[in-house]
Amino acid sequence: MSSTFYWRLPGADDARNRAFDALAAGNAPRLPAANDLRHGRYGSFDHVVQVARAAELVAFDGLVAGDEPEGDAALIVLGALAREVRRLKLVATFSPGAGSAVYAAKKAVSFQRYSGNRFGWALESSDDAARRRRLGDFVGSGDLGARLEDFVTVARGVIESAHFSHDGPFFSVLEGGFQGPLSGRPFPELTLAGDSAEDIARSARLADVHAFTLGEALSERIALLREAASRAGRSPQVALRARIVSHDDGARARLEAERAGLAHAPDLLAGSYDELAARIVALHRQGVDRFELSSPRSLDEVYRVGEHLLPRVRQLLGRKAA
Amino acid sequence: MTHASSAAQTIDFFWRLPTHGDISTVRRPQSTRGDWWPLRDGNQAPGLLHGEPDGSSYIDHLAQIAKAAEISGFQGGLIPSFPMTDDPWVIAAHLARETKTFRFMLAFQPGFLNPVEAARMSATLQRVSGDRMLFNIITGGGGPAQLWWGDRFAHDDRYGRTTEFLDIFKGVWKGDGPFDYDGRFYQVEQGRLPSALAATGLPEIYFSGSSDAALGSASRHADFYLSWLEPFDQVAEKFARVKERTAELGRRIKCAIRVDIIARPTEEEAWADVKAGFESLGPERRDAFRQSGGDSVGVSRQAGYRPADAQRYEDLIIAPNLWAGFSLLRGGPAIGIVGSYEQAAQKLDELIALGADGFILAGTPHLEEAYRIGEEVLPLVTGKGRIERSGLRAVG
Repeated sequence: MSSTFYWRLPGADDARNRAFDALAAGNAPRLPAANDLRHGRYGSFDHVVQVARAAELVAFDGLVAGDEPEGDAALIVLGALAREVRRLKLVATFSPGAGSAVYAAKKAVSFQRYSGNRFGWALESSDDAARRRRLGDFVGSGDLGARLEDFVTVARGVIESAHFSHDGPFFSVLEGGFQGPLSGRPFPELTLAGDSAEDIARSARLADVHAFTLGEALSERIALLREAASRAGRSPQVALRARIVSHDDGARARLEAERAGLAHAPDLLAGSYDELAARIVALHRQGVDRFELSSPRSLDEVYRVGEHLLPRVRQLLGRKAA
Repeated sequence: MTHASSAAQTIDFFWRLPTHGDISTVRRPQSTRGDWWPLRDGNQAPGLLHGEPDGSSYIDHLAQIAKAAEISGFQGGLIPSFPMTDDPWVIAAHLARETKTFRFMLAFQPGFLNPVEAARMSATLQRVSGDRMLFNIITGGGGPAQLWWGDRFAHDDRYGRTTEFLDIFKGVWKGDGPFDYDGRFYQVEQGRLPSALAATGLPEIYFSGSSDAALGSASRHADFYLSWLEPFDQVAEKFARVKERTAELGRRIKCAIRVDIIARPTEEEAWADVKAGFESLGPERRDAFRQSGGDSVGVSRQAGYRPADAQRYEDLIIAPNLWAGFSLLRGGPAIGIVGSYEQAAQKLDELIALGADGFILAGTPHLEEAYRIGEEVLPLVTGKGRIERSGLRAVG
């Protein structure tokens, strides 16, 4: 069994992204004494592309674009990256409340065609009802799970069959399904998340990957998923979401994390390369198949992880260098 | 808006990206590009080399066309959306970073996305492309095709929905503060795009639809009213009707025409290509075009010409340099322009005199013809007949 490493692209909460967004035309110049040619020509996306390229160059396995209400739409971000990043898997996070399941499925098919089947979905809706209503989504909290399942049923139906009809509580389709070169494409690798018994039971039935966030009782949560999955005769991968700050000197890593306001974050991995390599191997032995990492200093950390941490992990796991 | 026709005196020319394959010559519509047809000798299907995947795909062909269009003088191109096509959002996102000026006109049916999510996706595309996206909003069509998309609303209901959709789309983007809306189809509570996204330009809207319900919706939100080419007296009547309807609401709207062109150095060569294409069609292909589809009023208006019943290509010449058999050669509108470079330009000038402010042009094959039309026809369009519109303010 091996472990894979995905990088979560910097989003609206990233300090560099915010700084580059301030270069937009109409804002005051950032460099008061300089003739600043960037003004109106660059934005945070130019930085995000560099992070994505970096992740590819240092041998990550995939990228995840998040779905923050304050940030960009993941599908567009990944589409714009897809031709610059040629090997990495591309996982788009969005809510089943964003629109029609058929329409989402059709986008997925075009993505698969253009990217060589590298496209995945992470389906999530906010727990916060007021936040959902700000996004035009008025489905009640108690119905989110049923909607997600209805969404997956329809999307899978039209991708995997040529004549699919379904009349569900949230989505319906009559004689749907893709034809010709749009048919026969794999359904996007499906990541679901959540800690509730209901979330875990759903992933056991539907998900290719279930994502937990680093924190208390991880082993127990993994065990619950494995049990439920084995009852369903399935074996979804376990992904672990964590924020990471590494350094050759562990004290310096913890200092950087503190400066970023993460000192007490339960999902934080901070430490020296050796410490973190041991930690990651331990988590892997606990059952984590995929690490979904992010960092307040995205570009720098991609390189630190790729150059220093991953080689140590591979060595500890007895794998050859990439 | 950075790209909107700031010069009120100029005409907006767009090209078209073929989203379900292309044909390599109008003389032989069976000769194809893309993976929508069986691969035969001479057909091009990007992505396969000696039958094996080679790492490229149809998007590489679309990239070629987009670059050809932008270097040849087109502002951008329409990206159509049908059940058999690739998706316009995905195409635009993939091409945003490798084009410089090409504006992506996404064909979009408002029912398919939640309006707030659509605003967020659009604003992200504006950020990624530098404000180069705009919409061709489509509402009609329908019948069984609409259920294929998972959309259950009836024809006229859909226009009400489009209006609500655009109210919210604009409200969360350019509203003064958090936006509330309680509509029949859509609701939002305290919705607002984040400031970095809201700072981008609101996409221009080209609006299609020939029914009364469509015109009502267009008059409220569209920047351009887009029509397929029809006989010129009908074009004039339609444009007058939409402008009148819009003026009643205190807004102004511009008009645009979507039309294919076969332009050659001489008129004889152009008609020779039409003849060759027409005569290469088998009866089964013509039969396929006899079936009318959906409850679209625009389609019925065009289907009145019955191109599939014609015995000779000449039967479909409905006016000098206008041929009503284009739908036999490829999917889409029936009436197009055929002639010398000068005649093609003159037809466009005539349409400008009837009220056209913009065009979406297309030719087969889309790559080579983007160069040809850009090099040979566009420079001959004078725009001189353009109706004086002094005092016209940008619609927004």
